[in-house]
Order: sequence, then C-alpha cells, then structure tokens
Amino acid sequence: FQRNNKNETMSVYLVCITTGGGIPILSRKHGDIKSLPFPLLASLNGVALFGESHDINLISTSTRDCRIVWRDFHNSIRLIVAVSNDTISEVHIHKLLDLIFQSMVLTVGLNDLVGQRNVERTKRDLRASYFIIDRLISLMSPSESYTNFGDLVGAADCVVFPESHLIQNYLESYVESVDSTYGCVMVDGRIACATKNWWSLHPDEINLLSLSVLTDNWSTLRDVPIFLPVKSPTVPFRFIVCQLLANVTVCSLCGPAPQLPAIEGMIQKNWKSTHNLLSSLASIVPRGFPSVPIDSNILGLILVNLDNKRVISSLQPIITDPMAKDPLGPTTRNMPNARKFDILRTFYRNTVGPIFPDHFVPTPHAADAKGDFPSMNVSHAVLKHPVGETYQCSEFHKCYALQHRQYQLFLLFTSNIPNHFMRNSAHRTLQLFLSDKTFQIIR
Amino acid sequence: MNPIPEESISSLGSRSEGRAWRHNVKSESSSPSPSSSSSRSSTSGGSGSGYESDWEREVSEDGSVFLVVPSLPQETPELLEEVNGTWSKDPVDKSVKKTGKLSRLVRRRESKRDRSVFPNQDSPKRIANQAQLHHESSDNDSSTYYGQLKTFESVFEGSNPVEMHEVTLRIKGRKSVQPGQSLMENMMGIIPVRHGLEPQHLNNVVVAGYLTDGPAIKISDKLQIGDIIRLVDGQQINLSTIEQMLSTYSSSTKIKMTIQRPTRIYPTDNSSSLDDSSTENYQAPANISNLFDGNAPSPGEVEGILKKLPFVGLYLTRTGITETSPEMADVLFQFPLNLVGDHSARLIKARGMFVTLCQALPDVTNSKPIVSTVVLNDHLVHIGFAEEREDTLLLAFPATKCSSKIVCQIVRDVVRLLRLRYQTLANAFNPKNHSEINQFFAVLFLDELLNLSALSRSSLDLSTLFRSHEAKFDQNLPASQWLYLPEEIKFQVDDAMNQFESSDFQDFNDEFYDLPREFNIVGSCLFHRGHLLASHMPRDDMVDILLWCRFKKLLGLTQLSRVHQLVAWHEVFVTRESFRTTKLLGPLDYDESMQRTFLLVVGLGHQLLGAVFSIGGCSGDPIGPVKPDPFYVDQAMNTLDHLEDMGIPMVCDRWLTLPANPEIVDVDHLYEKAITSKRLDAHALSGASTSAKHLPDKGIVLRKTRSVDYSLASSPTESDELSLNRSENSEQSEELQTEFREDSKASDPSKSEEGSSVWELHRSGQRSHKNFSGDLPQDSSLNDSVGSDEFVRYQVSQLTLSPENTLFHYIHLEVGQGVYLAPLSPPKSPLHSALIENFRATCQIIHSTFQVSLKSREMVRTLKTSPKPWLNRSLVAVKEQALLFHWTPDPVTETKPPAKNMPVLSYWVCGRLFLGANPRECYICYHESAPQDMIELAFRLAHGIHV
Repeated sequence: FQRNNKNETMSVYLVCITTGGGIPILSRKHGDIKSLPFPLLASLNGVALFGESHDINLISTSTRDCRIVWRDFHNSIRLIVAVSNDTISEVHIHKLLDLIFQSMVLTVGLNDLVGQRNVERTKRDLRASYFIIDRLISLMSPSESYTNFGDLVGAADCVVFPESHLIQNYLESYVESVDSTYGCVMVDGRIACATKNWWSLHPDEINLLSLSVLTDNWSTLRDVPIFLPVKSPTVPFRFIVCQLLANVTVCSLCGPAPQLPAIEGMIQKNWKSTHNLLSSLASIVPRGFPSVPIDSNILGLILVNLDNKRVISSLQPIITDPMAKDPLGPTTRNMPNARKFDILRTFYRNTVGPIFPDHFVPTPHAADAKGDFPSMNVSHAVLKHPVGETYQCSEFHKCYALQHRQYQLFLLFTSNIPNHFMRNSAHRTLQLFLSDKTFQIIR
Repeated sequence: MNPIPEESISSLGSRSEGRAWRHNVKSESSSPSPSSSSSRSSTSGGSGSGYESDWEREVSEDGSVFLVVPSLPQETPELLEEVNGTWSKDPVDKSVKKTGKLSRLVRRRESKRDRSVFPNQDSPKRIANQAQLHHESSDNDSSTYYGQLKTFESVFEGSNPVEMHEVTLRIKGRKSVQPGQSLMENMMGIIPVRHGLEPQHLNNVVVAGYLTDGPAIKISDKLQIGDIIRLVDGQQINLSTIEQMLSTYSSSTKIKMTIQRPTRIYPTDNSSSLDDSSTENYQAPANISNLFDGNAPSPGEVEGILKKLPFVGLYLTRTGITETSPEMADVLFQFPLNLVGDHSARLIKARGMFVTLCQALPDVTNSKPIVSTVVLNDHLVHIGFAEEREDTLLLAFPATKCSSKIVCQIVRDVVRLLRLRYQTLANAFNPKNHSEINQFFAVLFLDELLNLSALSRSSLDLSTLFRSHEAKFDQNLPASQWLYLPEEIKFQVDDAMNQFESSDFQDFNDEFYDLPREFNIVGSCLFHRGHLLASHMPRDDMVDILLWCRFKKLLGLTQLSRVHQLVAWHEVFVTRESFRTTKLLGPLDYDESMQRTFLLVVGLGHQLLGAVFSIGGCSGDPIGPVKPDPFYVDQAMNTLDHLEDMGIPMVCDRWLTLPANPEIVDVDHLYEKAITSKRLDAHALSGASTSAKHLPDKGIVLRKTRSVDYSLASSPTESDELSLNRSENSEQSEELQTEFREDSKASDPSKSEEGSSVWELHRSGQRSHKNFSGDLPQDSSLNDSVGSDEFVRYQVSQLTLSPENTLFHYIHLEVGQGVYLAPLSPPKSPLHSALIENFRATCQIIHSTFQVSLKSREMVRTLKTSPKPWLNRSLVAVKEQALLFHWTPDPVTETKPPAKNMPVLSYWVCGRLFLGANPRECYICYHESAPQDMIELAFRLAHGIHV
C-alpha cells in the first residue's frame, strides 16, 4: 500500500489564457495524463467567456473525481486549473492559483504579463517560470525532494537553529556590504535567519523566492532579475543567491550595483570563517529543530505562527538510531517522507478552510474587479461555533490539529496511538515548543 | 425488518381475469348483512355520488389518486368516540358477530366508513354531525375537499369553503364579443385562470386578473385575484357553465356572486388525542400548518420576493438542435414558467455554458460535472447537473440557501423521484406532464428557498429572504428516522402489516378461491408522525416511498396534524429496478422487470402506510391505466384502523414524549445550572439531563396493552371464530394503560418530584366502548390477570459511560437499511437548537470527508483496471473525524433572559464510519469532559439498539 510509483501522483492540468484574445500563453500538466488538445482548451475558456457576456462569473465545477476552477487576474489573464476533488473547500485551489500567478509576475513583471503588448515574447519569457510552476503543481502529490509547507500554509518556512544569532551577525554585515537591506540564510529552502526587511516581504514572496532557490540550484552563485509580486511588481530586483554549503544558501535582493564579481568578493570576505557554524546549521535538517523530548508516536508535524506568518515543520521529528530497537516496530516508522508529506498536506487542506478559519494574507492580485476575494465564496456548510481542536483517523495513520492563541499545530501520528492520547500529546508538544528558548523564531 | 412472506405469493393459482374478483368483493362484501348495507351511504350511493368511497371520485384518467382529508377542527376524539359508540349501539353489529367468514371483513369496512366525511343518511348522530359538516361540503364540487390542495401553488389558488363571501357586481351588457374573448371578460371584466393547476381545479372559475375597463376592477377590494367564484345568483357555476349562464343576461344587470377565498386550507389541528403535556412537543412555533393557514404569504408576495433570488430549473436537450433552431428550442421545460426577475432570466440565457461543460468535461476529467458554482449579480449560485442521454437537467440554487453538497443531494433526489413517477426524465418533461412537474418544482423551490415549514407572513421580508439557511443533514438524507418500539409492540405492528401483505383475503369469501389476485403486494412500510415504524420492503423501495412522501409534504403534515383520510395511488417505476443489471434469464426464470408496479399510500391520524403493488406474472397482466382496487385500499386502511384500535399510535406518541433514550443533556438546563454554580464542568452536567437522573435500577414501566393478547390470538393460523371473538374483545377493552411508575427509591427528593410530575399519567378508558360492558365475560377476567409480567419496562440508558451523562445529541445512520436513529424529540430550547444547528453543519462536513474517503477507496479497488489520475491516497482509509468546539453563547441573542458572563461550553462532535457488509455512520455530540475512551464504548453501543 505504501508503495509510491508513478501512477499514484495526483494529476493537475493548468492552463493560462489571455482573456482578451483567448491566446493560450502557458499550459502545464502534472502526472500521467494526456495533454489537453487545443479545442478542449478553447471550450474550457469559452464557457467562462460566454458566461461573462451574460454577467455570470464561472468559478468552479466539480465532477466526481475532479474539480476545475476558473480565475481571472487583472481582467487580463485567466487561469484554469483541474485538480483532484479531494477537499471540501476551494480555498487552497485559489491559494495555488494566487501563487502561480505571482510566480508569473516574478519572472516577467506585471506590466508585460497584464499589458500583453507582445504576447509571443511574454510566452517565451514565461518559460523561465516553468520550474517554479511545475514545482507548485507537483506539490499536490507526494514529493520526495521537497518537504516544506510554506506555500500551503501561507507562511515562511523556518528552521530552529540555537546559534542563529551568530549567523545573523554575518548576514547583516554581508547584506550591508552588497548595498542591500534584504537578505537571508536558508537551509533546504527554510529560513534560518533573515534581515528585518526580508521578514517584511509578503509570505508569498518569501515562499516563491525559497522555491526558486530550491528548484534552480545548478550553480553556486546566481544573479537573476526578479519582480517582487507584491512589493515591486513592475521594477525588477537582482536576486543574488550563493550556495555556501550543499544545502545552505545566502540570498539577497540588490539594486543595479554592485556588480556580480564585487559581490563574489564580499561573499568570500564575509562567510569564509563560518564553515563550522554553517555545518552545524546544515545538520539541523531534516528534523528542522534541535532535539527535544517529543512523543515517539509523532511521525510529522507542522507548527504555524499566524501572527508573524512563520512555520516550522518536520517529517522526521525523531531521528532514531537505525541499529537501536524501535519500540514501535519497524513497520510504523517506515512510512516514507513523501507519504507523510502528502498526508499532512491533505490533512491541512481539509482542516483549514472548512474547520479552522484560514488566515492567508491577501495579495493585491487576488482581488477581483469589485475588490472581493474569490476565496470568500464558501460553498460548503459553515460552522457556527469556533473550533479548537480536530482529528482525523485512518486505518494507517492519525492526524491531530490544535489551534491555540496564534498557533496552529498539525500532527501526524502512528495509527496505534489511542484516540484519547492524541489530545494530550498535542498539548504537550505545543507546550514543549513554546517554552523552549531556542524556538524564538516561531514565537 | 422482516422479509415479505413468499409463500403467500406462490400459493396463487392460474391466471385469469383479475377484475372479476374485485367486483365480487364489492357485491359480496355487503350482501351478507343487508341491514348494514342499507345503512351505508357508500354501498347504496346514499350521498348521491355513486362511488363507494370518497377517494374513488378522485381517480384520474391515468388511474392515479391523491386525496388528503385532514381532520376537521371539530373532530375531537370525543366526537369520534360518540360516533363509534353510536355504531356500536346499532343492533346490527351484534348480528355481524354471528355471521360467517365475511364478518371480519365487513366489520373492517364499516369502521372505514366511519371516516367518511359525507353525512350518513340513516344515522341520527350523523345527521347531527351533518350540521357541523355541512359547510364543509356545501356543494358537490370535489374541490371542497380542501385536503386535495397539496401543492404550494394551489394553496394560493385555494378553495376553503369556510371562507365564503358574497359580492355583488354590476355586469355590463353584452357588446360585440371579439373572437377569443370570453363572456366573462366581456361582461364582467374578469380574466379567469385557464389552465387548471390541479386536475380537480380544471373547471373552477378562478380570478386571474381584471380588464382595466371592466366592472370587476372596481370591486377589486372585494373580489380579489385568486378568488374562486362558486355561485352566481345562487347557481353553481364552473368554467364551462359560466359562459352559458352569462349569455342569459343580455343587458347590464346586477349579479350576486358567492366567492371563496383561500385563507385557511388546512385547519391547524390542536386537538390531537394527546394530553397537554405531550402536545407541547408538537406545537413548535415553526410548523408546517403555517403553510395551510392564514399565516402563509400570498402568491403575489412570494413571487415578488423570489424575484430577488437567483434560482431556476431547466431541462435542456441537445437532440435535433442545430445552429438554425429557434432561440428556445432546446429548452424542454423551465421553472419558473414566467421568468420572475433578472437572475433567472440570465441563468436561462447563459444555459449554453452548462451544456458545453457537460460535453467538454468528460474529456478533461473522465467524469461528468455534478455541480457548478457561479457568481451572478453578487449572488453565489450553485448549479446541479443531471444528464440523461442527450438531455440535461439543471437546478440552480443560491448558496445562501443550500451548500453545493446539498444541491447535489437535491438533484439526486429530484431525479430519483421523477424517474419513480415517470420512468425517465424524458417522459417526465414531456409537455403533457408540464403542469404536474411545474407544481413539483414550485414546492421544491419554495421549500428550499423560503423554508416552507417556517414560513409565515410576519416573517416574510427581505431579511429572511437573504438570511442563509441552517445547514441540513439528517433532513436531507435518503434515510428515515426510525422510531424504535419495544419488541412486543413492534411485533404487533409487524403482524398487522404481515396480515395485509400476505393478501390472504380469500378467507373472506369462498368465491375468492381459484381466482388469481389482482395485485401482488411487494412490501409495505409504516410511518408515524414522519418516523419509520417498520418496513417490510427492500431499502430502495422504502426510500422511494420516503422521498415521495417527503416531497409531497405528507410526512411533515402527519407529523404535526392528524389526517382524516389520505389515499394516494400512482403507477411507479421503482428505483430498485433501474439498479438491476440485465442478466440472462433462463426459460424458467421469472423476469420481474415485466411487472408494473404501483405505489399506494394511505394515511389515518398520524400514521402513513406505504405499499408497493405489482401486477404481472402470477397476478393479472392488464394494459392501460390501472385504477386502485377499492378492496386493497380498504385493506390498507383497515390495517391502519386496526393499528389504531390496538392503540399503536398512542404508544408511539407516548414513546415520542418519553425522556430521550439514551439520555441526552439539554444545553439550556446545563447553562441554568452552570450560571448558578458559576462554573461549567462535569458537576453541572449531573443535573442537566433532559430528565431527572435515573439510577440504573429505576425505569419507567408501561403496562402492556390488551392488544398484545389480541395480536397473539388473531394470527392467521387461528380459527376465524376465535379470532373474531378476540378481536371484538380487544376492541372494547382497548384502552391503553400507559401507567408510568416512578421508582420510589429516588436518591434526590427534588429530582424525583420533578420526574413524577412529568410522567404521572393514566389514560385508560378514553377510547373504551361503554355499550359492551358485561357483554363478554372474559373482559373482566383479562383485566384481573394483569400481572407483573404485563409491564413493559422503559429503561433510560446512558450512552456515554462516564459517571455523568455527557451526551448532547447523536445520529446513527444505517446506510444499508436507509434508516437513522436520533433523539426522537430533542429539546427545543434556544441554546440546544443552536447546538444542533452547528452539529448538523459539522455532520455535513464530516460526511463529505467520508464520501471522499469512500470514493478514494473505490478508486483504489479499481486501480488495476484503469489508471486513476485524480486519486489522493492519503484519504483512502479515513474512518473517523472529530471537532472540538469552544462555544460562548451570545448572551443577548441566544438566551433569555439575557445573562451575563456565559461560560464557555466545550463539546466534541465526532463522526465515525463503519465499513463492511452493513455500512454505518455514527455522529455523536458530547461534552468535552467525557473521557475519550468512554466514547469508544458509546460508539460500540451504537451498534446495537439499546432500548
């Protein structure tokens, strides 16, 4: 059952069409499905167009297995996406579409994308965004290589590193030397420390930058022009990414100066003495936080701070010695990360929205012509009383979610934990994290 | 649920004309007791109708019947009793006892005759009643049976004879009549309604509007739109005769019209046979009788207000539609017929997009669209799809009223009902059925948009219109709430139904032997106040009947008021047949699909008996419309009568008013306790149960009814003589001795005091027949034999096993059986209702999760045969979901009197899915303080029924 072969990826269709001319400017798919032929694509666009002429905005259509969502951005770009009909709420599909649109803005800028003065050129330029978009739609299904939740949660992925204040000093002086105020140090796409201005970016921007660092990692030093979708959608920045160790990168957003060779010099100068510190930072993953006495039934967790929009997550909260005898037996521990990742994400998508209210920070692109957000259209039954905790049990695993003050905690348990014990365990885990001084970044 | 006795079907002989049997029944049944036949208006045609029973005049051309006669307001049980008493005094009845095999049949038929609303010619009591009844049946027009008006539209059309007005109108002289113009328009200035909405109204003169230059508009304050003109100058008129009548007036003259105004359609029935304490439960302010009394809004109001909501029902076809087809050629049916408001018109104009979706999506997703969501003029609208060949049914509802999940369910149920009635959607939307379908949709949309049951004039304004509706869960399931009765009583009910189903009517007459029966009874099911008591049919048949009754509002009607008589008969195409895969039949196999099936629903009091009949095979094989056989209808009616005689409805009513079992906690009581003790915890729970706390050794004791003996004795194996004696016996000593005994060992004096005041009840003798006293000696001996073994113990159990009860509400859904269990009469107090409302919304969400899980499981199962690109593996085996709520009631709006500092109520709603041969879903709502391992036990308990 826990095999993970190619058939088991959840498929996604994504189509991007100009609303004016009906020209397809981007069409991606994920999973083992055939490409959409143009006539079909045209009729998908046609229904929305036809409805529009009668003042009817088509939002979504569900079939037994699948849900299709239509969404217009800036009255100029229409995204159509088909995903599995596995959630009650559509809010996460809209979140995905928001991110896809912003990753297009990130690559080509809002003016070119929306203005459509030269569609062919925009189409060509958009190819640079394929790697982020493909990664985004692939996150609907189990993924071996990616273990972050920021895109889903709408918060910045972080790691808890007890000595991050030391790295912070190095970072501040480096950022200053390259004439910038935006900089951060990431390990596996998760922020270990960042400058004050970096934290002031929109969570979606931080996530897209993390994604671009993670997916486009064939060079040790990169200098790419990017548009910040919220902060600066029309004027590009230079996004300087330098790989310090295999999974540790330092990023900064710079203006036209200094030139790349000068920056290379600054990196040399600022980071050369930090090897030991960075090595210990690199070893914080995959757990993502220092060792704490966590319940051994917990297979994975997500902890979100809704106030400062940060998230820490781990698919291996307990790293056991493979030689030591595991009290739970080998089978329960053997759940692959990709599966844990998929379960936790599915649980999150089915919890936030219908059960917990979502706290996503809206972007200016998400609003429609009237200033409303499509995700405000709720099509499921609405709960009247606030929910504090919820759980879901399957034959193979159990999930528990807890909302306490500004914190949301999502836990994945082994299936043999008794139901009544999960609540206890969840409360203790949250206490553990909040009372520990090293967990400053999430508090 | 017992299977249908097969042997009764197989015992039948060769086929020959089945009709003859029926006629035999008619004549033979009355002949052995000539004195009684002469006294029966029915057989002798005393009422002048020539029909044997009231419903027979309602049989339409296609053989279907729909007649509802609600209880008359004057018809208190005492009156009935008097009538019964009168009959019993009739010396004829004694002779009946001595007659042979037919006597039982005759007796049963007589009891049915008692319910006839027609005044009986010979009975002095009846004549006395006639005075009371007279205004009910002041003319012979069938529509004076106000009960027939069942659809919402016809409610407005109205025809309650009680509200008669006299109006004088000076008509104009006849001028040049233009072709196509009627005399009514020409002389009176009245535009009549031309198409009858109901068959029985076809001929009524209903005012649809006025000509601006006609005389009628001047008296429009007296003669209103919707009024029915009954009499003109003392003469009865209808659409066909009024023209003739008017043509006799050549010049301007004054005429006197008697008009009837539809203000009260169904009298609210406050005189149920329950005593005061028990009726309270049924007199919730929001009740369906609003629909039928003066509080209902007028059609104009409804239409005006609905304009503001986006809704539409459309049936579209793609066959024969080309580019050059006229604009609306593809629309085979639309509701509303005349486009009210901008929203509906816009949806109809944009129908092309939905048709395109139906065509395009299967290519993209490999599955057909189920529901679409659009934004239309700032309204979020859900559109549900159903496809049949080239045709598409679309139903659009505003999201404030129905969630998309509910829209899917509505479409599913609508399709099921239309197929039940018309076999296919294409047949259903055939133009000849349009008026019926129109009614169907009128009721459907009004109910969904305005919540018919809570509708009243005072509350009809824009704020109610746009207010979102409460989430539905159990009200929309294709499952019936089960009223679980103790074994002995259940046995009696089953036995009575089995007698009916066995069709062993040959015993009534020797001549019936050798003749084939006309119908096979496939099965029957019995409802009391909308709760299922017993079902002897496959799940799908039962659900068919349930949905049919629900959409016809019969369940809601019988829940709140008594019906005097209810007969409905339709040819149906049961859903079960459409599920069957066509398999090769051997030469000896019997193909059931060749059968024609019929639905019969009869009602009496709060009871509804639904049955499915079949024709074909060993019974006759007629062609053309099949009318209901009065004999079978009588048998069904008699079954209900028989159940009433046994006191089953009374037991059920009593059961409905008993403290909930398993015990539940009333949230309002909990808060009362909590506010005084300043905290809300397990301690407060101890006093907050719906009833006083019961120790395990206590219970409520019901004395067994005498009818237990009766039902045991009158099983078909008994000799006729004996069964007759026994049945007579039971009839006169039928008083239901619901004597409740409180155990004296109450731990807390205050609690026991409270408890005893609730249950102290003695109801003997209310329906007893005085005249028989001393007639049968065993009567007294039976009374004496009432011993300890004749008590039924009603033990209130606690579902949660914590020291204090922590359960607020539960729903246990038996998917396989089509039934669910829930507290029979949950507290109606404001906080508890708010809790249940949220419980339902939660159930809807958990249920959706389970649906996705089941769907994924199915996909995994078939993964080998075809790739499943949309499968999410992590949801495959989800079997439990729970939510913990922290609710602080709003002290201003949700409590009265307003209280300060409401403590937080923390409660869980937990749903669990049980798979296996008999899939079940169980939802419970309990206080946080319950330890969760105890809840495990509660779920396990829910497997068995623990009464």
